[in-house]
Amino acid sequence: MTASKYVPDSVAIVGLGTKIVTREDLRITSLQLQLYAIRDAITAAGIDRHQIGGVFTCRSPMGFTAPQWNMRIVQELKIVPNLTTEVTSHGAGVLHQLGYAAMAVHAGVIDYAVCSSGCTGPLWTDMVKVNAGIEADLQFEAPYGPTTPSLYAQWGQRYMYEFGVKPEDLAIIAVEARRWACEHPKAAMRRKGQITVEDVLASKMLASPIRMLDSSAWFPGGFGTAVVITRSENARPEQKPITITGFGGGATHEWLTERLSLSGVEPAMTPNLTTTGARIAAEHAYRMAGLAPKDMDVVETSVPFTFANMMMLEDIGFCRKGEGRDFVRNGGISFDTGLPFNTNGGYLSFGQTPHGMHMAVEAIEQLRGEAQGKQVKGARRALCHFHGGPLANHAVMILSAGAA
Amino acid sequence: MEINWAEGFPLMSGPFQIGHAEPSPETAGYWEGVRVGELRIKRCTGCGTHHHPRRILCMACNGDEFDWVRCSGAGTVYTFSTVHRAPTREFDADLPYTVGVVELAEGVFVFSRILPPDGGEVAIGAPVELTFREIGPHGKLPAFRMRG
Repeated sequence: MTASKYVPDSVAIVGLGTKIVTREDLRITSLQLQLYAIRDAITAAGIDRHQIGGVFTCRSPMGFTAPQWNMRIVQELKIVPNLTTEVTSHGAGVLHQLGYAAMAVHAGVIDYAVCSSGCTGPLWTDMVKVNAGIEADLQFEAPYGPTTPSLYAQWGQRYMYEFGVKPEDLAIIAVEARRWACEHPKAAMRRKGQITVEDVLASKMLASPIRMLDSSAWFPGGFGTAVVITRSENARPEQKPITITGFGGGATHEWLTERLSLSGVEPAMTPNLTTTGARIAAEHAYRMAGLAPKDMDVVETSVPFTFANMMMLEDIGFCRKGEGRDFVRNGGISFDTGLPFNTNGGYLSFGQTPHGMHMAVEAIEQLRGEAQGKQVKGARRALCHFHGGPLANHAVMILSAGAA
Repeated sequence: MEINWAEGFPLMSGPFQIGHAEPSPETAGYWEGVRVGELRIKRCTGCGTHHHPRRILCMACNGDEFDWVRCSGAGTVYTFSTVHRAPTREFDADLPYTVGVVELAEGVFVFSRILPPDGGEVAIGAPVELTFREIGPHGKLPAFRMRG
């Protein structure tokens, strides 16, 4: 692992813009959604848009598939950036774009970057069908009829087998997520109220061992997010800056079966479906930040199933591999007394957006002391983990308050 | 719908071709095997390493030449999931069905359908053997049944 020359907290998020549309609103496109968020982020930062030297975007949104997505954004903004690109490692790229932007401003290649994500796919397409089409190998997996849950379930089934995890252990994760969601005014599942372990175990089986309540709920609309990034020396208090303390990635494959032909390299010294690239991503981020899991006040992750949340607690360092079960059983992520984990309800109960940036928004709001749901008192450090593909690409970013 | 994976397929938007998906001449030997009821995997002619599902470079030796070898079809269930809600209507008639990964005796992993024994259930570690089944819209494909 290389010794990073990035200086922790030398780069700050100085503008945040969000735009939410639901099925009750006028049906807008992903391009509209992102541009509204970008405009609001630039306004919040209080800069002139011509100061922006870098335009980074997520991959082309589902429901508005356009190659060179970043150029669609650039041509709407009527600016001439030095650097611009899509960052396309599935959902992980959505967080990674902040890392690329941080490197560019840290190196002084540019002064300001804007990063953009957001997708109104659920308003325009059947996300269940669309998603299965991009998660499976078209030749060697898709012909057998896998769904997205059944692809993730390959990991889940093996993980439960190797470490003796029971469905009732996983159900605890769904129960705790719902408690956070019930506090958040925008959470998709808030109106459904709290749930019990028994509710989870009685919910409909989608793809064994994954039941309906083990699974994320699609956020019923679009969630656009943009951030403006600059060197911390440029930050002003009225921008409520949040600094980027460290970041890292770990990408292992595009399709599940290919993951099993990866070996001889961490996290797959031998073929396995129990440890993900999140472990590598987190190691990079902690090392860059000079911090450890115990330093984190808030943890947000973008995985869409209960078992995967348990795996992430291990991979991002809150317990050792195989100890996630006992960590969760013993109240490790208890809403009342445990690690603040997915503090808006996460994918399971806030809802899954196609790009996942709402989880970073939650981290930023917690660090600013502006949580819309339950505020974690005195939160100074937040870890965000984003992933994409069937546990294929991972990004981890550590954000801090009060360091700019 | 029969797709010639060696040639891939055009992506159309109305009458316009807007791209070309997945031309895959490097996997033609697999599909030739499927056509005659054999499961074939790649073997590096340089170092003998078996590869599946596809390979362009042998990352064991940096080689780029392969031949195709017929598998015995013997293996064990590595993991699986039983699908209760199909991705598209074409698969509804098969519900519930099990998709999973088989570890073959040759040391490679294959994604496939796994057929439980009559009245039984699929289990990790269970020995399986190769069979061919009409699956979804793609015709006869390799599948595995548990050895009873």
